[in-house]
Amino acid sequence: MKLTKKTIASLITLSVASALPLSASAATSSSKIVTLNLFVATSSSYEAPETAMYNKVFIPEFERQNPGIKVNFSTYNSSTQENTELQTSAATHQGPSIFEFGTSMVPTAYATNMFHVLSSRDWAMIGGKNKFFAAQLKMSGPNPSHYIGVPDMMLPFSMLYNKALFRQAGISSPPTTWTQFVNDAKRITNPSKNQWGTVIDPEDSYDPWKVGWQLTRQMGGNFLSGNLKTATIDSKPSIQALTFWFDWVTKYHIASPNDLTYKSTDAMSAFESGNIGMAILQTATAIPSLKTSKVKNEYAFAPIPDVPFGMKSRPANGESAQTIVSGQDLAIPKYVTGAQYTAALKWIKFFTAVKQEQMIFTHMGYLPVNKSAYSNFKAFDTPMMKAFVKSELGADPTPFSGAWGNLEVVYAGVTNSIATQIATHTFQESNIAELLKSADEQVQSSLQ
Amino acid sequence: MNEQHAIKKNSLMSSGYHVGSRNRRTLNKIRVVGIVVFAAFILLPLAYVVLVSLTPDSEVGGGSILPSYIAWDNYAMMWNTIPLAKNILNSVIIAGGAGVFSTFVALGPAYLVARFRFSGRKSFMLSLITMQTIPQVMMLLPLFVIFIIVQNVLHIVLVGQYYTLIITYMTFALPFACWLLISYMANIPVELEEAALIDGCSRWQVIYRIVMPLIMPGMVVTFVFSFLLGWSDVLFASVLTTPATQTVAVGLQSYLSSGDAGGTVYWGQLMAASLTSGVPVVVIFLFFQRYIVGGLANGAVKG
Amino acid sequence: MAGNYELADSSTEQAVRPRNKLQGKRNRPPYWMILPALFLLVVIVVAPFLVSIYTSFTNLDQYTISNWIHAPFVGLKNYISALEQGNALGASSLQSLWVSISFSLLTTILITPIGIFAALIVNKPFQGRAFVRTLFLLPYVMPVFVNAITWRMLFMNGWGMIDRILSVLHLASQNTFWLIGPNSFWAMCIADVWSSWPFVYLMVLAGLQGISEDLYESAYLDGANSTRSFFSITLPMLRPILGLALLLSTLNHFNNFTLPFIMFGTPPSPQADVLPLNIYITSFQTFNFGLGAAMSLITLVIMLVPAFFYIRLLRLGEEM
Repeated sequence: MKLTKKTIASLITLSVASALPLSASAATSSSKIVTLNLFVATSSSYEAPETAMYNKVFIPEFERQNPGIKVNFSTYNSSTQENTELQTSAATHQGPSIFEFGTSMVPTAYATNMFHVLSSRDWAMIGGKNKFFAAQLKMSGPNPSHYIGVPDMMLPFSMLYNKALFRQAGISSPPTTWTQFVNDAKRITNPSKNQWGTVIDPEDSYDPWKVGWQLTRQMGGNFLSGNLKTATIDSKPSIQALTFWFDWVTKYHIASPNDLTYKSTDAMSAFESGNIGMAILQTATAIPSLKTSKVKNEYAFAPIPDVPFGMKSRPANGESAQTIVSGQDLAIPKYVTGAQYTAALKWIKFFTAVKQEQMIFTHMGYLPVNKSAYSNFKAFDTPMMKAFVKSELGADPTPFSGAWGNLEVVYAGVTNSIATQIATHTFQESNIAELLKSADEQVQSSLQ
Repeated sequence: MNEQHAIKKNSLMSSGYHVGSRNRRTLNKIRVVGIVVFAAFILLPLAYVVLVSLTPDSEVGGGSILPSYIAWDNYAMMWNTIPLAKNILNSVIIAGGAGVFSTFVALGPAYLVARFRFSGRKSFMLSLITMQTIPQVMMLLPLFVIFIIVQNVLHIVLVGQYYTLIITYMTFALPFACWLLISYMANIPVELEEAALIDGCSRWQVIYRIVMPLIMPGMVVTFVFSFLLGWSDVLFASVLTTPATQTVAVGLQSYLSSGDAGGTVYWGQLMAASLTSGVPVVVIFLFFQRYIVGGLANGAVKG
Repeated sequence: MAGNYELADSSTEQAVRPRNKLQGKRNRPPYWMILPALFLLVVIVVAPFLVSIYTSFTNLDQYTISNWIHAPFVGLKNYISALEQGNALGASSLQSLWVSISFSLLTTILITPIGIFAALIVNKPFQGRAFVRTLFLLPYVMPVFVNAITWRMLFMNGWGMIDRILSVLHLASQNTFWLIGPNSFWAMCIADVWSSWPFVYLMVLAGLQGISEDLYESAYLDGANSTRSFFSITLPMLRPILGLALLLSTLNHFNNFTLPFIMFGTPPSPQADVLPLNIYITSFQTFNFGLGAAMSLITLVIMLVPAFFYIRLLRLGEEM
């Protein structure tokens, strides 16, 4: 019995001791010093170097240049956290002083009406709109006088391919049209060796809409009408686009049926194991793990094909859309005001300056959005980097709608259903149109 | 049929009473077979986890089962890819705090409900059940709003503090803990307490000197379950923590979510880190095991 | 609701009264003991719950969240949408409710005999018992999150271990597709049973310690065989704790979010779209907080009825 009492007593002491010191730390903020709290994205492939960069390089340097400003930061690494932080801050008018959002989140952030629209004076403080890639700014707001986001990194999409499998199949250069893509993939595919021309990931939460939207754009369609009032996910180009993607499994047999349960990470693993010829919609963030994989000497990036299947050239209204305007934007919430707001703008100016942008690339893998960062910088003088930059020039912005987030989720629901139908042998091609029609109705109801 | 019969027989043996030697041999055999089956059931998936944890990251999911070499460095690299040690410590503090506090806070209502009739007693018990059927997901945003209101009124920082998460997990664990302790409490005879009260002990002394020692196994079980509730949560922890207080579940999730950015997952490291993060829990279980099973059997209570 | 319960229960109330020995003039119930718990539950469960009820009548979405107190009032619109059939996104809330109920009942039914059997075979001392007891707890101490990832890999189509083993044994094709469609429900159940049976095991093991040896002794002297003593002594003595274990397990499984969230990602196949996950997607991914709250409240009301009967059935809280 003695022991039990002792245990109880020590447990109480322990837990009280663990909770007490924390309550003291709350009330220490001096009035003179302005504190900035950053909320920044990290990807686990880079998380340690990224946090180290903030801790050891960016923040000390900024605080040295701007005495009187203190910078803290917290990180997120999933869209779940990104979403909930935005939602909780919006509901409570408290939270980080600067948000870093993925570009496809910016329209949703804009819809919450909780971020500062940057004035021309603000832009002047950041260093002017002109220092940025024009395409990246297209996701900063609905129109140039209503920008809330400042691009700080970009991440164009490319096609990843396996040079060894290309050599084996006797393919000299990566395809530039989808017809060539299918043909090349057929030559690479050898199911008995579990070797496939390409890979799909219909179970992913985000990849499906990216693929569907890109192919739809190339055929001249879009998911929303120009005025953002009408959903057009059930339009003919959109149906053709999604049908084509699943045809890779059902008709051309260039992707494994196993892919029906894949998320993007599974697709990436498959590529890294050396069994996949081509994987579309990949970014430079994949490089660190590619470098340690089986294909470390065989991977290469190329622009994604941009001529629809069965066509010699794009239809007149088709867009190249080799990449979606993609990357990260910084935005300042409205509850940040006065000296803190000025400090936030100073941070953004600092962070998007050439020196920092180049360091971001070197240590984090994101490409600079500051155009000047590309001149006289050796790291960009490689074919791979040129492929990325070339993709970026043809970058297409997604419609700037507050309902885009809903659309992404609904679209993933559609591809999930189709994958299930194929797996359970209940699939008919007409189902795609049906599912897209009900998706269209649902998205329509969330448009404002 | 045979097996069912055997299970029943076994119970007698478990009770530790005389059984014929032939009978005992059969029961032993059943136990051995049972343990082997259970061990296989438990260990096969775990073995797979161990195997993956020793596979180079990029070979996982490739199709071959055995790695081309044993990647011990997964166990070295995982400490730097995410702040694993800090995350584990945070989880131990938060889940441990939630476990300890829920157990002690629940002791009061449990004692009251188990020992007294009062109006609202049944409603209280029923409302505990009701609380468990509310999807926790739904509480996330309102709870956050409440925290911010409290934060503004009292001028203290709540988000990102250990105690905020501890309190949050307590609310999941409290209804659980109350129910568990009520049922344990009900099994303890009241005679000892009566005697103590007659001897002039205060209510508090009765609880501290008589009830608590007797109910120790129940308290340990309650602690363990409450601990695990907090240990496993991902959703609330991802909103209510900062990097300094991030729990291990959130840390491990960051391995997975790099896929969002188009990257890949360090499967090998993830599995190595998962196994490592299980160690503190196993240690806690080992430490408390004898209390769970010991306690009541020691003869303090009979009949 | 609570009032009815009180009434319906008056018979047992009487049966219990004699046991209520501590209650006398000298011993008024020490009500203060319930206050800390009550306070916490009000602040952290009841208050947010009231906020949720309010939002269920409003059109709270991405356009209104930064001013949520003034989100437009839409009456019962969210409740009507919640009851409508499923859409492109997957299951409707009623479908999801059904998935959640089947999942929680089925897993509870499956883990109960497993847990009891496991507790019985390690109850009596034998060499290496401590080791085996620890072994039995391993699945339970694996965080749900890790468990979900592990089973996702095991169930992967084609190269996952389960498909490989099943196809070698000619029990199923290598293309069983466990992670999508109807099979996803079973995959989720299997993964859950693996990790949650030690809950029952642990409860029963603790309960077994409370059964006096004398009972078995006298039963033995009365000539009862082991089968009879299992039914006449072990099970009845375990009944309160077993009933509790069943109740807690059912409720815990009903609230299961992490397992399908990690195992299938969002959105999952409708067959595995458990209610908490569906509410999460509705609220946090499509920003339809009003609808999410309405869905929760509808299911809460629906759940209260079976929960009430369930409590009666297990006769919980009566002889306590």
